[in-house]
Amino acid sequence: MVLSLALITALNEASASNDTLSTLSQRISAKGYIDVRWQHFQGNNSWLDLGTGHSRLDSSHNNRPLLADFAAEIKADLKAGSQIITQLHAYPEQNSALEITELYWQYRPLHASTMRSRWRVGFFYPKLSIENRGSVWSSLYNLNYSAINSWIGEELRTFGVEGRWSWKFDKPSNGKAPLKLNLTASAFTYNDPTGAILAWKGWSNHDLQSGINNKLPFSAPEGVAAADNIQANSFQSFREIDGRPGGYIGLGLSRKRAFKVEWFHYDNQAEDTAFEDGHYAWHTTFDHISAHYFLTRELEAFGQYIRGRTSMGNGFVDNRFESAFIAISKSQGPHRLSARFERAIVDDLDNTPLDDNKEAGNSFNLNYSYYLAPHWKFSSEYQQRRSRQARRSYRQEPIYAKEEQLSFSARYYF
Amino acid sequence: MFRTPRLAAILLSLYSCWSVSEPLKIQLTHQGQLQSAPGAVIWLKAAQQGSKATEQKANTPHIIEQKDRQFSPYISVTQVGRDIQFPNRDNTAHHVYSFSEPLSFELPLFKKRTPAPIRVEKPGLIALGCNIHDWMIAYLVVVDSPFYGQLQNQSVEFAELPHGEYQALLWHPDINSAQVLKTQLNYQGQKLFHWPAPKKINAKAQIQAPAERLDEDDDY
Repeated sequence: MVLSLALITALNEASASNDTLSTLSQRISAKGYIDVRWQHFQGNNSWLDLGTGHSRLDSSHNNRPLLADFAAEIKADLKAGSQIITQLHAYPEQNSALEITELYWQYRPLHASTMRSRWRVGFFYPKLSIENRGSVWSSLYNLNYSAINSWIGEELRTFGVEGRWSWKFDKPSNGKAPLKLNLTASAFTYNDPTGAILAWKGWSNHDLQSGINNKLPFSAPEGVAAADNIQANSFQSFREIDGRPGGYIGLGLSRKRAFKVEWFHYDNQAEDTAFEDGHYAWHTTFDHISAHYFLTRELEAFGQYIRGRTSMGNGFVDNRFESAFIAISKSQGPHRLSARFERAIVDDLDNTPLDDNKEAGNSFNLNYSYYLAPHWKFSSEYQQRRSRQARRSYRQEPIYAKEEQLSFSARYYF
Repeated sequence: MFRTPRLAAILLSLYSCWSVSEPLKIQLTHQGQLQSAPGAVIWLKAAQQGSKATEQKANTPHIIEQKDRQFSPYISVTQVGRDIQFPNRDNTAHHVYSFSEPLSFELPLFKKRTPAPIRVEKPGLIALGCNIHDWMIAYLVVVDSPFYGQLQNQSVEFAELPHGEYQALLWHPDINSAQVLKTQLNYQGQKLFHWPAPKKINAKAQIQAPAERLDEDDDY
């Protein structure tokens, strides 16, 4: 509603001027990339193909060129400080349509003081990720995201309003940006099923970002199929089931190109007995801490940590989840070398038979990229994930699995 | 007979008032050492606001560009009554604003757009910012005198300066962020004026815009 009003206002303003066409072209800008990939995967079949593997591309995609991702961000400037931003992804290998991964109105009002604020209204990522500071929420450092950010890409989005306020503490000096205190607060809806993918599929490492109408495949294990309410054979993360809004707050300190540290507390406040149209409301709450530190201009260390709980069906599922990664990245001219180590676990606290969500896994990612400015980036990456997951036994597979993936990517940025 | 010397005296005094001689060079010093403050604005106000004081008004706008996500020039000076224009040379939108007393405004600058000029009617300091790119900062000093310049290579020259008493004023963000430095200057054709700075000057360069890369999100 707000978006369409803003758009109508913008169009009215634009058409009122004499040079409508040039005005529109000055107001709209697009950026993004096309990712062509070649990869070799060894391990369990992808969860996107109802397997127990945790990658996006599996051995069925081996040794042939793939159009891995088409991504675009379109910004329309309505007036000073006011924009509509859309992010789109298409994954031809997953037969996906053009997914709208973000669509929101952003407003930065002018303040006479050194305080700055930013408002976002619509469907967007909470800014938790350090890694995904690349174009169209891609990782700047890797092809496959960390477990935390892969999960955020799958089923975490804000469908609501977010305010962010920053206070500057000192003046910029000697080219150093000022120190800022950042406060974020949000209220949102349409995120009730969030937690389902984490509980029933588990942690992953991939680069799939769900769109607003996401529908990801799910095959219920016997224990889930025995529930009173029948879960649909898909995950649909962005639904409102209980009519209760959720919220998050964040607090952090940052100095641009020097460091950033931020804490978030998230609670979707879902009524975890609610069920509608094949989908449960999952009460999901977590704390998230991120840190980014530039040891030198070219050497960065960063990490994210999450710890939370998700439950549904009055104790039918009750899981505690936790994950952390640390990464280091060194760039030198067009070269960048990045390494990431991580651990991700889910503890199953309920006693529901034939639905043991317990898992523990370690991953390692090594990426080298060459940036041929301004349009091309070539990457090679080795990703390894070793995990134990109880539910594999329901499929007569070993609980332990090792997944390895070697990828080469050529990205054209526009 | 007796009238000629009086006429001569009048002519002589007129000559000394209105004549032009070699340019006056002003340099900033501290404890005998030349100080470097590139871009520092120096302007001279005649003690008697004279006939010439408001004549040299340029009618072309004063240009402050947004280029490579930074303002150019960083520090500049113009005279009261002149138009200022903020062309956006970038392929990205800017949101230029100022809350300064002489001119408070905001301009939505969509990519590659040159907006209509704005007239400054009051003297003073205008601090400019961009609400989208918060490292973007520039200063415009608006003066009510035709005699102004900016330090380059440690000095600034004033040509065609009428002889007389002046109040000399100086402003630079790293010297005197809120106030102007003032001193008296009696110009009688001398070529050099050393302005004693109250402290050693550590003038910093304009903050560089972070390199723009297509593979990065600007909003991190």
